[in-house]
Amino acid sequence: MRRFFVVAMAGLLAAGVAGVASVEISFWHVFTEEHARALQALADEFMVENPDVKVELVFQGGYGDLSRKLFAALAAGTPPTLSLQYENWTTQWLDSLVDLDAYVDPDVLADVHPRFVQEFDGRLVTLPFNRSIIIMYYRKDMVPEPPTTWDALLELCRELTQDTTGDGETDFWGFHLRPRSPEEAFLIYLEQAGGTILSEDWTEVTINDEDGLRTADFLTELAQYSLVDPAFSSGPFGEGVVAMFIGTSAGLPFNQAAAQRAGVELGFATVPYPEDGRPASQMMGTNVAIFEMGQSEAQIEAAARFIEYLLRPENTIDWASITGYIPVTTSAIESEAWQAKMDENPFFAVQTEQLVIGGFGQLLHPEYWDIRSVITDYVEIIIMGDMAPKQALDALADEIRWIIE
Amino acid sequence: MAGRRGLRNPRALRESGEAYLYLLPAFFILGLFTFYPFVDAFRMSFQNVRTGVRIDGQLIPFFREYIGLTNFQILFRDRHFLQALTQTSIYVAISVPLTLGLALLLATALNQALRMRAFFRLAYFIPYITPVVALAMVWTWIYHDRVGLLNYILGLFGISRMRWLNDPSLALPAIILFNVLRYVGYQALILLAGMQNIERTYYEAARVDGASPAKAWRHITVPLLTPQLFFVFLISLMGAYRIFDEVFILFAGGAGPLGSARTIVFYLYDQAFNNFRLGRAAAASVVLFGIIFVLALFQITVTQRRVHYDQ
Amino acid sequence: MAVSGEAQRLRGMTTYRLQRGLGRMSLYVVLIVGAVVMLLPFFWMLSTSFKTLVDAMRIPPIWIPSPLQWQNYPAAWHAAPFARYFFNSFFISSMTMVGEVITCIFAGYAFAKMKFFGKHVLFLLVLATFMIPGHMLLVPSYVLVRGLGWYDTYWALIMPWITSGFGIFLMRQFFRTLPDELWDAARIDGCPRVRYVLQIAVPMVRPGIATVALLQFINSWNSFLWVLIMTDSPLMRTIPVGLRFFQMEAGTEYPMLMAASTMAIVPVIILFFFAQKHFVRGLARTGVK
Repeated sequence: MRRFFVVAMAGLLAAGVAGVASVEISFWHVFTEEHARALQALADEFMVENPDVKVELVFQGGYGDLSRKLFAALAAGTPPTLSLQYENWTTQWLDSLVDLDAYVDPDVLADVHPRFVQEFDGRLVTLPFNRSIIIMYYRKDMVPEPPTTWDALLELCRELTQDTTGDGETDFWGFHLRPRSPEEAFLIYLEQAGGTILSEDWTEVTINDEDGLRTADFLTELAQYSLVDPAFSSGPFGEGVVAMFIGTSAGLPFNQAAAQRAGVELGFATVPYPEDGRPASQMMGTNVAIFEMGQSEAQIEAAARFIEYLLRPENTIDWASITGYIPVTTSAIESEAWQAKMDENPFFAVQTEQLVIGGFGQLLHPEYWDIRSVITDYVEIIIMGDMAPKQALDALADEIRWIIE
Repeated sequence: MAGRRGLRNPRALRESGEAYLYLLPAFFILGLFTFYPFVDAFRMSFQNVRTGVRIDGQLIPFFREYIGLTNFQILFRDRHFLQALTQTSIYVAISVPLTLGLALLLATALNQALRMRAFFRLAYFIPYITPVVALAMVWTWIYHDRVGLLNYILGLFGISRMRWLNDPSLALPAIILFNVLRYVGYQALILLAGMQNIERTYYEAARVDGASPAKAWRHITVPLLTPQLFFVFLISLMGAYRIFDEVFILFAGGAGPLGSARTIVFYLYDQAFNNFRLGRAAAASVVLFGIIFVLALFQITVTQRRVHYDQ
Repeated sequence: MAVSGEAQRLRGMTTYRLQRGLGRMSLYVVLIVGAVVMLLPFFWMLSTSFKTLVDAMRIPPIWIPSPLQWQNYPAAWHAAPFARYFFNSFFISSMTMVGEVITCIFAGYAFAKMKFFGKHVLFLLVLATFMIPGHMLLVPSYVLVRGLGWYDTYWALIMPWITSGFGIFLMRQFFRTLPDELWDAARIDGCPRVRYVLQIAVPMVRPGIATVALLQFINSWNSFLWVLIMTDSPLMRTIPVGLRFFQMEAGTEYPMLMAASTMAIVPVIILFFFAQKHFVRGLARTGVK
């Protein structure tokens, strides 16, 4: 109701506002439909509050398209004022980003949930916006009680995976595994088992240590009871051929539609982890950053104001409840409004719990893209059983070593 | 020759001037959008290209520094590039002769069949003119693991489900099947046109001599078709090395299972537009150019004695 | 003896005809099976485009859905600005086609019939363009287009494509077939060369022009990566790029995707259907001489 009123107001004021706006800032994003409308509503409201600023939201397609457009725009010296970006993009153009602590209110910065705080080379250049986290989805008819440990998960998968038509081919799987998604297929489990890609100081490769090996062994076993298919899980889930999968919480609408297609009820749970490990899960989604190049001081200042505005508890909660992303500030997550949302909807509760107990972000190494790409290769090799886990991890470690040197 | 004489002869000089005027629009565009970027790509292959770099406190949007042969050194140590190189070559080595062979048979058949020729021509040619993005989208659906049409049809013949786009050993065959069907009609059409230009008297003479149709085909049709075969072979060889769009759509922008659908241009694209290593991508493109160049030279030398474009 | 020999000859001829008939028949069978294989994807696309999502996922497949889900078409059409995509594709393809024809006529004629200094070198340059992989030019072109201020405009989508080495080469091949005496006669009558080219030579190489024009139109219509990289706003997208964005949004909504694919394919097929004679006749010359 409130939002509707404000949007209506914005509409009424639009004519007047247009004349006043003296600073234009552009914001490149990837949202469509409801997400885009929610963002537009936020921007409209912001413009009512700040009649001197005009926010131009520009949809740039998928994340891949956005990264290409950003890169190209930077090369031409004409980046947008604000843009969403993944961590591994940020490391590429770190030099051209504005230090946010110089512009954004310290109280706002202090309120950002600690799981989301990321420093690049000691600098604060991004703040979280549309962040999600990997959780487990399952069908309630097949999984009465979601497994919480690796062993329980394997056990249940073993039970569920079968040949239902009796033609000699498995046609139902306990789990869906995406072989080319290193986060979902490997990195989460590695973190859970206490492993890391590199040592703390980035000088040693540690992915092939004991923890890594344990992760790879687990993965090898899980693959036996999984449908291995790079498609988004909503595909096979919608066909009704898998019982569980882990995936980003941002995929909720697709997974809900898939559950509907399969005629089953969708359940949510935190990702199973080893009994002696940590309940970790990787955070997905992007941050927002301000480009310095080609922007006036007024534009940068206005952009910082817009970020502050987006991080206000009521706004981050509104955005989260419409889109299914996670509120990004401590005060929002702990607010009564969000508690009420979590009581009302188990999805919000599971997602928030997963973040608080074990959200972790990307490795912020400048060569992460290359590192991730070789991890992707070897994770797939391990899943396909093309190499023994130990052998694969050692080869992987060698390649990572070569990259960081 | 023409030139040297032209400089002394006013009419030839005028003709030269007029010719340059005729060539100007085409060469202006070619120069700006083909030759200049081409040279620039070479330059870039010896550079490290970065965007938004701060140098002495100054933000430089597009920073290019020469780094010698580093890009090429990295390239030939990069597992992905070597994989792309091998797989593209395998793809070319299989798909080009296969398509051309089928096209030759198809053209022969179409040359015999007089009824419904227009229908056949349309049917076999449609995949070639269809937007490849749309067609590849249809094929992702046909290749679907569980509810795909192809697996259903194979199932009717008792062949068990294949994971066309998800099995490392099937990715290349899936691409080959797609492209054989896409190009066979086009190639057949060119060959058919060539066949129809062969004088009937050759065949009549052969029949009088008691040669079987198969023999006539081998000793008259194929040899006289050499220019077309050469042309089609060369064009498809070069085209096949550049394969990208269909792979991109079929494998949803990825490199396929275990990278089995990684091609040279995919590698180039991936490096340039996902990884932003423009220098490395440029180096890969120079290698691609080198391959195509060598193949073309080889082709031209080998067939020069038999094919004469200029006669 | 003579009678029996005649009978034998007749019998032989019947066998021959029979064999020939059988051969013919198997020829047609093979050709028809091949045509079915070629057309099946298109039929499948059409069929899926008229299904509900649930029906589309059924195995064994439903070949002809009933009732036809027509609403997939308006749904797809309205899910993305396809009207704009169509306009862009038509506009860009037509403009590049016209440009290509004009530039290639003149350049092709010059190479075929005129003497000038550096002809050999320039023609080698034209042939060299065949060997340059287009993808090699993407990144430098991008920087260039931005520099020209053409980024995200029709200029970027049209200007680089209004000529091609292949088009010039093809037109040259066609112009070469014209006898030199034609121009000699025209020249003696005092006809300027431009007029001769446009009024006499061009009509004589119409199939070549049709080929060049159609190839360029279809190339532009199908062009994907260039448009993807050179444009920014949805308003500048062409059908293939729009289709890809639509695919990302529609995900596994295969019926809608197939409806959109059908809309992208149909114009090209109609064009080919009406122009195929020119097209084929033109292609015939491609590899000859």
